[in-house]
Amino acid sequence: MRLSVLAFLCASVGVASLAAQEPVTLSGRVTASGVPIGSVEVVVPSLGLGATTRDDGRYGIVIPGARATPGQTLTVVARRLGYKPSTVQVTLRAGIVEQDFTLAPNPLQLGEIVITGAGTVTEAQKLGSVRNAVDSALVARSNESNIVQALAGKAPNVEVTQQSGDPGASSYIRIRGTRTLSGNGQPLFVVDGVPIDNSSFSTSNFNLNDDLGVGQTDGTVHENRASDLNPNDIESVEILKGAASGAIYGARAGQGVILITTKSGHAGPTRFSLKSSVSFDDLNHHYPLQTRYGEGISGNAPDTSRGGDCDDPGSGSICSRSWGPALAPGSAVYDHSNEAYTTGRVVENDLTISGGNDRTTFYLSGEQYYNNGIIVGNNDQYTRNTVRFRGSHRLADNLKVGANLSYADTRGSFIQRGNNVNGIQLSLLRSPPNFNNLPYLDPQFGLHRTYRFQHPGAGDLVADRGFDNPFYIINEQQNRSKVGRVFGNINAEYTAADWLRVNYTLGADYSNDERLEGCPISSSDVCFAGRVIEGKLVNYQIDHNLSATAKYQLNPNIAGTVTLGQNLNSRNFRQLGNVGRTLITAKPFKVSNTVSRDIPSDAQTIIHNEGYFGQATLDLYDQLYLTAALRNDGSSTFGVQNRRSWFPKGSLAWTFTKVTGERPWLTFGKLRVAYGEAGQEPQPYLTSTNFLSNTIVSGISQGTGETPTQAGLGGLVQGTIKGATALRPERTKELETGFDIGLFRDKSDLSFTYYNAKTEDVILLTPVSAAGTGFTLQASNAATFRNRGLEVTLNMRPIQRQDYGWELGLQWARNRSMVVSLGGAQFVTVGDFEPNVAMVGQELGVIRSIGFLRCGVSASGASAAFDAACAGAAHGALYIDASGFPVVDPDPRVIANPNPRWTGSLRSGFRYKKVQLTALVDVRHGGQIWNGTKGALWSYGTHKDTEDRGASKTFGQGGWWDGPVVGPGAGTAVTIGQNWYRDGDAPCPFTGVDEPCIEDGGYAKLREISVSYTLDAPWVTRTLGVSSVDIRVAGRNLHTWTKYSGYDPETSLGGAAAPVTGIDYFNNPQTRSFNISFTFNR
Amino acid sequence: MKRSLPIALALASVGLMIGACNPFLTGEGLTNDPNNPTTATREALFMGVQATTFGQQESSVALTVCMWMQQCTGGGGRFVEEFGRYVIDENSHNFDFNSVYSGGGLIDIRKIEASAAAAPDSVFLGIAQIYEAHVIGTAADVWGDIPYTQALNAATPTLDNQLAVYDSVQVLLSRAIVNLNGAGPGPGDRDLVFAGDPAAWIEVAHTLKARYFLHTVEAAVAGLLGARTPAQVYADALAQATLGIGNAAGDFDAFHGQATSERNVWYQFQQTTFGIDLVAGKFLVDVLRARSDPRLPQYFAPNASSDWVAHHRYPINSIILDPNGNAELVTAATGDTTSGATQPSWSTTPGTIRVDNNVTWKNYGSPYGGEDVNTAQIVSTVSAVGGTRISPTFRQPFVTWAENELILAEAYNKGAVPNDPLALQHLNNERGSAGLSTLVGITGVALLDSIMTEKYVALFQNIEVWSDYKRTCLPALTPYLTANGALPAYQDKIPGRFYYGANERNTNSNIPAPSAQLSNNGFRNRNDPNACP
Repeated sequence: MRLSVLAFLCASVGVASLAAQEPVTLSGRVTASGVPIGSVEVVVPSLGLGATTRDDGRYGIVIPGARATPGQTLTVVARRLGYKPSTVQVTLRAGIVEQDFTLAPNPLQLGEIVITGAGTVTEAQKLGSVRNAVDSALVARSNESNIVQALAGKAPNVEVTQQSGDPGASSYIRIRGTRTLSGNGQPLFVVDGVPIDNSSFSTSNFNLNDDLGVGQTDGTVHENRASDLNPNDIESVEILKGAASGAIYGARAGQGVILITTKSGHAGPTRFSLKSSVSFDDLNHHYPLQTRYGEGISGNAPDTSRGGDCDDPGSGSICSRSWGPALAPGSAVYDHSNEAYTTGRVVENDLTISGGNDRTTFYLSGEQYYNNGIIVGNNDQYTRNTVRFRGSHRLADNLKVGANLSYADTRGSFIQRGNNVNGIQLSLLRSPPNFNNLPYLDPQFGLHRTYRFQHPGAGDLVADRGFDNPFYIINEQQNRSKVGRVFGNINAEYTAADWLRVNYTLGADYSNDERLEGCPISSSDVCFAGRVIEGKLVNYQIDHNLSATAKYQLNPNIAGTVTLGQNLNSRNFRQLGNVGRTLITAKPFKVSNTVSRDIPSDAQTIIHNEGYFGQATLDLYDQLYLTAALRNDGSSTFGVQNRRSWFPKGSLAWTFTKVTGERPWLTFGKLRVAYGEAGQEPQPYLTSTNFLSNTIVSGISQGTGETPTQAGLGGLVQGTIKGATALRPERTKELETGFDIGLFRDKSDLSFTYYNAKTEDVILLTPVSAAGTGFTLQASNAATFRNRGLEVTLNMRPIQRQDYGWELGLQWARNRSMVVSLGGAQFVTVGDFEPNVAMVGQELGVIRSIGFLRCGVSASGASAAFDAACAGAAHGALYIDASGFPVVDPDPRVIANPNPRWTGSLRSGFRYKKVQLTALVDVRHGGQIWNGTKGALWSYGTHKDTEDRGASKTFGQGGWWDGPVVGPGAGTAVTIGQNWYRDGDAPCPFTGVDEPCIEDGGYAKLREISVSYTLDAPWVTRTLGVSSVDIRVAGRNLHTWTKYSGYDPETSLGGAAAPVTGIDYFNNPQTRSFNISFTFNR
Repeated sequence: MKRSLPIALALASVGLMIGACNPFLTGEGLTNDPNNPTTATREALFMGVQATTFGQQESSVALTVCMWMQQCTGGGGRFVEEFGRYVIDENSHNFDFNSVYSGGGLIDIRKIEASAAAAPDSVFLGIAQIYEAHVIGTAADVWGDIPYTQALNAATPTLDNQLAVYDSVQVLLSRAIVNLNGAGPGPGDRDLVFAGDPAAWIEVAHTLKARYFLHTVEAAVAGLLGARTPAQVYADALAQATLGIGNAAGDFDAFHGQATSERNVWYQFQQTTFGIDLVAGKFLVDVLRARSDPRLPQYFAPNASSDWVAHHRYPINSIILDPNGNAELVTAATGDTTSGATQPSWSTTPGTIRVDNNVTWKNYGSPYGGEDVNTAQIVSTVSAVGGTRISPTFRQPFVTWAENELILAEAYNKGAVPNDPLALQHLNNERGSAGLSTLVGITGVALLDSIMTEKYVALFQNIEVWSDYKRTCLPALTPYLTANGALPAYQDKIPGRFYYGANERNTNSNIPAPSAQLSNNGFRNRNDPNACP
């Protein structure tokens, strides 16, 4: 082998030195169905030269005389996404060689280059695992500013949930079910070969005192850092689902990998593209509130005059609820479901300039994105300004170097929400219908007034208001995030020989995120007397990736590649936050303007990874494709005995139509099977047992408790997490198999995949007996999860004519997760607000809580009467006691499953000449939600359901808790009013009886609809000086079909920071938007 | 190409060199948490133990007891109100159960003890042992059987019999007294209660011994202590209390400061989170008003009319379910006496009107369809738990001279000498210090009632009030009527214990399910064989 390599090297050098002197120009035109097509890449692979066609389909490649030998035959390939590549042999001669290409549509993407990660590529038909790719057109059509949200509905079993409709809100992505409980459970994001940070951090997490460690359920929404990417820069996204395709990323690929490729310039004339768009957003669903009963309790109204019942902040509940008397006809009622919202808007401008010549290409873009959200006022905003430069230069014929650099300046101003009296939703939705929240400052003394404290006196600048007035929150609070981020890479591609390519990438990602949360001086509760949180997050990552790929061809039927590589990665994260309390003067919101400070939140983590990988492929008879890869990863987070870990994968793809022959109804058929193992590294420092100084050692609820340091004397307590001595990475072993077929002369294609993933060694903070150990949790590789599912993609192109066409795409997927083992514990809590748990034999994340006594479900023995009534009763029958009401079951049980039964989407596109109409409907079937917002509003008497107070209902009848009932009170009609909604078991957030608040969270959403038209008539060029103008009118989330009664079933209280779904508690609403955009191309 | 190949080789070797550095995976800050210490001195741990103890004695357990003992009433519609209605589950006191054993609790106390023993510092050891006795004794009071002999020493520790736990606590306190008489510098100023004064801690140890002897007296009466008689129990309590806290300066009070995380937890809860949730309890306010007790303004904030008013149990328009299953509606009520301690003799005839204690009830017949009276309706005239008690720096009393005097009074009252005048004398000692008049001429059951009522007043907000009530049923509280959906085991009864924490049950197979806990001994602990009326 070595000898032949040397011989080959010498031979090729010899050829170069004998080259002729005259340059040769290769030019021609590329058409498809007779229409010229632009953006086609025409390349001479052996010389590394290429060009891109213009819109008229023409291209030109100049081959320097030193490299062109007359009479020499070269292979020239024309390829463009969506078309089958065309390869021709061209014999060179002096002067201009004309070579035209005709491309055929390629709906099955055969021959397309697919990036498979860590420097490896393959062709689509050789992939042994399912491919899910999202191109720039689909990203653009989504109208989402967050690339993660743009993936919603784009691939089966890729579930995307947006935290809320706030500008800049994070989106949470889940691929083929949850496979880890470590960190935020998000897939690895890789941009142009370099992993980037996609963390999410709630500012409230700087504030241990008030949040008991669950900051993401109050405070504001937060961003997921991948949203710093400008979606207009994205050329394509490859979603590596599961371990079978992600194994090349080893210990970081357990949740899948999102490979993002940014746009680059192409040889040819410099192209300009300016996109300007404006969107109008509004609330997509109004909260159902009652308007018939006023403030009060038990039918009594409080004295709301100055100095009356509602002017004593500690007065308690007669002023806190809306269980007062019926409002007199004609009395003023205020629309609390609507008053805080207005039409939000988005303005976006994006300019790109790209071009290059045969040796150098460049791509330069700048984006300004501005979003003023739907909450009134100017504190609900998100702006992003990005610039990106990507360039490459061929230093030598066989050495190409490149750089890709992006800077993002991202600023958010948010409105607090969630479980938080200083948040907008809680006070807004609880406001009695007869209380006017405006003006929020009492005219007499100019002080903050609320429905629970209506006339603050001269001395009440600092006094508890019960709940802050929503407009005081909107206008007077400041919650900011300012991020400066630079990320990118330098890279080199060195073709040592035409069979050996070396790739090197050195990437970095640095961000500085400054946070501020300022509660004004007249705030209530934990913000009493004002509170300021100032924090900084510094994150920097460096990634080095070196790989070499050798191609071989043993004979015409046996060929393949061998890749070897090394990866080093360093991630550093630093946080420093301070909480100051009691403002000295009203402004500014600076920690130095406060009387006292909490213990600073000061932490850093450093993670180092070192990985080696190898991959070999074998192509047999142009139909059987084998791939095998192996990665060895070491991580500083692994336990000392398990410093390194192996991750293998193997796959097989067989194009069986090569054997059976193509039929009119079956033009292409591929069977594939793949197996892989991928991991999730442990969170750092789980191996340490620590003493803590900043922990809260006791307390009753949010905002109370003591720290170990007292009286100026430093104290420590043993942390509640016991150090784990031996931790291994989590390991997902996944087998997937399926087929891809092209049907009816490529008019249709169908892809089917089945996968079975078993995740072993799942790291859990497993509860341990506090009494037995003195700790409450210890990390261990305790659990085993299983995720099994099916994925189907069906694309149809029933009509494809030159002037018009119709396409239809259908996706359907289901995933069933199962907790196989938890290493001893019965369940492990995974939620931080409601009791979502991992429980053996259940789907992951089910809600285990208190329900009512039900026959065959509740343990016998809680009550003799219950046991007797259940004899012979239907399973699940609700037990009704003599009072006519159900009875609380003392034993917690699984009462809800937030995981959907299946998900799917339907996309359709019509094209008539230059008009295109596309629509996307995204469906989630099933998946229950704990609607705590509803439960709380029942208690407060403002929910629409409470309007029918005093109605007579019978449990089990007439739509009221339908289903079998038993017991002495079965069939007894009872009055339902305050006794049930407030004083009874219904208000789940306060009683802990969660069964009444469980709802079906399934939905179908019209995610996208758009009409676009391309203006490229000659007058456009004449008058506007541009070659074409694309005009697009679009709608996003225009309609949601759901049975869910809250704002939106797509809600996520914790957002991307907390991988638990199905929790709704005073989160901000979702939005829908209308968008119009103009893109000028030149 | 000749130039390029070395470049590639150089790149490769740079990578390999970086990779070859072994500390790349194990260097500084990579495997050990750079953010937190992994060792702690006993001085630092002692601060954490004190903060934890102060917090435990002032948080969820204490506020639940305050409501169940009707010293406070929960309002605000939050979990506090639910707890007040006896609606609790295994999550309600989960954190409190864990904190007995976890950081700041037993695990740290044991480290301090080991370190003090090794030093040796006998005084430090003795003080740590008192903290251990106090936290374990309190846990036995509220949960009954708890892990103790196997605590911190088994993956799934078994439950010790509550009475055996009290025996262990007695042994531990005896050792503490011996150690406090030994040598050693002690914690000095790091002792936030007594600045390291061994004599003061010895008195606290004796008072605690007296307290825990009394906790076993009902079991002794029931013959559950073998040969040990109630008389012996009282005699032991008397002997210990005689050596107990000799004056109010010797009280074991919490330390609190103005800093955010040093403030009194009751203050934090009332003043800084979700508004006022705890208001004056009817029973206690009635007692205080009836005798013009000077502690009324210390315990509760005046209302807007500068008066002290407790929550009305039965305001107008409230409805309850009477024993016959009929809805009874309050149609009229006058004055603050609307809350009758007794209920009318209900009629089964709809429309019938009954008057009881200034409350007019009307029978609305079956079915029951109204609201439950026991959900605190807080009208604006009700007093909040406040006064001088709700202050950031208020030093919450845990073990006091007042308690010691009243233990003495009870022990003499129940002691070997019939009608021992020392019983009344010790009661009057305590009353005098509280600013109350001297009582004369009462003995026997009437005196016991006065002693226990005074103890109920004096130990406001102290978890000990619940233990006193469970064994004496004094003062004679009327349980709140429970809401719809409450379980029969504590329907219309003051619960006798808490559920074990959910975390412990999840991990320790020795903890019975909540339903089994409910059905065992009427949801009462071992030292409480008899339910109160």
